[in-house]
Amino acid sequence: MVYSFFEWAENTPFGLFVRDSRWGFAITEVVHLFGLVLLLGGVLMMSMRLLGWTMTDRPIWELARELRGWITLGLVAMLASGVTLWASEAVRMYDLPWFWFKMATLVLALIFHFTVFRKLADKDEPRPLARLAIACGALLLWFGVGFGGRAIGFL
Amino acid sequence: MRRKMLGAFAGVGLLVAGLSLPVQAHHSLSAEFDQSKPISFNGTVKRIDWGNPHIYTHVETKEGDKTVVYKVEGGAPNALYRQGWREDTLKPGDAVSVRGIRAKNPESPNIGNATITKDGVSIFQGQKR
Amino acid sequence: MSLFELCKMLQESEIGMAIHSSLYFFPFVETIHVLGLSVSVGTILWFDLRAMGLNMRQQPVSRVFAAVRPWMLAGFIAMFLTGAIMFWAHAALCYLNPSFRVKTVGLVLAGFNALYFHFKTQHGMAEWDNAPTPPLGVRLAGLFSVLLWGVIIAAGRMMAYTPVDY
Repeated sequence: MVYSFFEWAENTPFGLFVRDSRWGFAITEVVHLFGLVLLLGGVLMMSMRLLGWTMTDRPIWELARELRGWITLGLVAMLASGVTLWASEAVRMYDLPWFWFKMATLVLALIFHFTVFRKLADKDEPRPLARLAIACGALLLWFGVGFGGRAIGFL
Repeated sequence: MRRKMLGAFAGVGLLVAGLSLPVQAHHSLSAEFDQSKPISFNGTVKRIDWGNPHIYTHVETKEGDKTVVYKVEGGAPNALYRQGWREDTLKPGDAVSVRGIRAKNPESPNIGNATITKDGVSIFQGQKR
Repeated sequence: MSLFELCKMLQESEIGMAIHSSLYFFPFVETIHVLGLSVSVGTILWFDLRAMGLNMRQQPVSRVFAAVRPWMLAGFIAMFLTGAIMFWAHAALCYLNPSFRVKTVGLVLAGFNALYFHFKTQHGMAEWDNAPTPPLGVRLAGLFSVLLWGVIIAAGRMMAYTPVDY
């Protein structure tokens, strides 16, 4: 069932277009990297603040509100370009364990992001232990997704 | 429904993540190669470039009167090593037959998604499927 | 000795070849280089956006800079070192690769942009440090930085698609 979905995706006009165009895949990869800079860079800044390593004279919610839009932009760019890359060779991805590792980590990271991380902006200052947990959780999950992406290429 | 599907997705992911590892290359197959341009030929191994981000096996063949050297692309050394492929699995001078697809760039000598066969034994070195 | 010969010597040196054919070292270095983008470019971006008046407008420019500086410096050192290691293994191929040349020019220009900001533009900082929208020169420095790093990232990725043989 899942396999036929992957097969279907690869044969949509969209998937075929990226697969068969000369520069489509390469350009999509560049968008993926731009998204990475926005998303991971933003999560990194937020985590630094949560850990009390930077901008400590400003409330957490203020930085969270400032970064929120940019992080979301990065996330949208990553997901859109990621789906595009996947659609162009979905069938091959189906066989790669590290692809599934990346997707599993991504789902966890997304859940964490929208349930825990994003709630920061509406809350008062979380307690130190909670801050540590949120920062480490976010960094571990998102860099885990990134690691999975590189592992697809090398392992 | 959405949540359920995501959960199932994650479950399947963690399960499959534990399984063994097929071969992969540094940049994607579809980025460089054209699925509609299959090629197969017999030739002689000239050189093995065993290196990151992916290996190349240089194979010389005759096309009419011309001698052409194709660069048959394989996976990353790490992935190939885990599959049992070594730097000296193929040696210069080995007679092989190659089946794969040409690059989108017509001037490129690179061959992707290739299977190299030596003495009737196929040595899988490209990407799966 | 020409620059190309020097690159060729580097690439064909024992260390260059060892990096090229390594099972774990190259993937490890490459992963740091890619994910390190978030520490280097990912942090300087917030300063650039502030300089352009697009983000953190109620904070002084100098404070945003102080906040990102250590991460930015650490990030760029890591990027430079990992980049140098990968260059060692493919020096001659890099030298001939048009995308690598674009990337190098981009890096030099980004360096000049940073130096110009540091030695020239920054002098009147007291006057606009608290301004939500800094003067044109400052905003331009931020814009150039964002654009140049975008070019550097794109050219870096394109190296895989514009290979040259020798």
